[in-house]
Amino acid sequence: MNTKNNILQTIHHLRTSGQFVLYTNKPKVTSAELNDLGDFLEQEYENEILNYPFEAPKFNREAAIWGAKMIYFAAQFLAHRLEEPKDLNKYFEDFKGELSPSSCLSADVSLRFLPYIIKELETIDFDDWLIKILAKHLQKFQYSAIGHELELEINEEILVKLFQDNCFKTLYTDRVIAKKDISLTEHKIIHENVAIHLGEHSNHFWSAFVSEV
Amino acid sequence: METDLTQGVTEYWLRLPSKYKHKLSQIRVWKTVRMVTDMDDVWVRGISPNQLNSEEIRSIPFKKIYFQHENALFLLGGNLPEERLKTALLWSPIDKALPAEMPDYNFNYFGVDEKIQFNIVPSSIERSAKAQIVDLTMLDAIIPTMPSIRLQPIEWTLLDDKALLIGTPLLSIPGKTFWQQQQFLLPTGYDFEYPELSSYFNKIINQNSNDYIIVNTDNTYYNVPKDKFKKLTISGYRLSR
Repeated sequence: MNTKNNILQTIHHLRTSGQFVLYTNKPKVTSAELNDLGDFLEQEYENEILNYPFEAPKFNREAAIWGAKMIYFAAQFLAHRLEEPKDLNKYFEDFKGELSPSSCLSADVSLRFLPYIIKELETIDFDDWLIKILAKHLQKFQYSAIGHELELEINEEILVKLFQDNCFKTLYTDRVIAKKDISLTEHKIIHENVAIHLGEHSNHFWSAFVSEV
Repeated sequence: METDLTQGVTEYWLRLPSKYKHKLSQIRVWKTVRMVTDMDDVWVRGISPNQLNSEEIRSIPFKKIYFQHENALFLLGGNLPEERLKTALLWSPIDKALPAEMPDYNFNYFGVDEKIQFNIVPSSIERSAKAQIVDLTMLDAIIPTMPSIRLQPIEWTLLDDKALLIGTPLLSIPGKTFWQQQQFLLPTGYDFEYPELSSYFNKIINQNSNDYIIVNTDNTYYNVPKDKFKKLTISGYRLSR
């Protein structure tokens, strides 16, 4: 592994030990670095889909790298920031690809850590600009934010579309159950799926969950 | 609104005039049951709901069954309290309270070579199943579609072309089910012919006490070491197939 590749080092560290490597110089990434990062993320994704139900969607390189960049910059700016709020936006571009089960799951490889950073930012300064930017992006990739009480708006229509993929639907519901995110079950489509997952054992697994609407 | 008072009752009490005390001998082997003598009656508590309808209990004459609700004892099926809760009594395990008398040693007895068969018999006491044996072809189809929460409590191991799954709640798939009695996995619907000897059988069969003993309906059995069990996950299953 190239030790000069800051972003790869950071993500690798995050994935293996749950820690961040932070650098004080102005964060920037080159396309060669991103290429290596993509390979690493793909490998991680391949390992993870072994445990995914049904047929896992294909790895979406673009989304995975985009997610990794999000978390990388967010972490750097959490610790050290010289930029003005208005300049922050250029580090956090919108995701240009299509929102699909494949892109949600690929981005989740690193994006699942983002809510923790948002929490940290909130404890430092609740009105931080960065929080708004990050929350805006996470709005699309809600799968990564399950269980963190970020009060994201749920668009049921989009979910219905994403849930056509059995793998994504099962993973999404699994995560709602694993994190016991009761507020999400207020949405009919999520509630239905959670009820199906728990079957007649809802009392045993999740007593707060009421299966009748 | 009227509510069913027996809801959530975990133990039942049994009252019997002292002179019929010997009728309790058949439930003497139940480990959870405790007993006390109060004036002219004996009281037995710790009878679980599924034991209540067993042959052993039903065949005791002159009994009264109670259940406890708050600080009172209600007659089974009744809606009014019958007795205050017995608090000042000294409960003892039923096998201590009803000591068994050994017959005098018989010097003319020559049957010392007789052996007891290890048998299981159909039982009327209902328990929840703890394990199941499932065909692998069935698992192949079903494991990748299972919600992870259902796989979490389950451990599994391979038995030739079948898999043994242990853990509750079991997956809802067809297969042979077993319930657990100490280290024994008995086919559901069966119990030992002599339950009181089960720990003795266990000691003999299960020398290192680290095995599950799976008993078939034809009284044969085989051991499966406990350390052979692994957590059931989709990836683990895919990799071992």
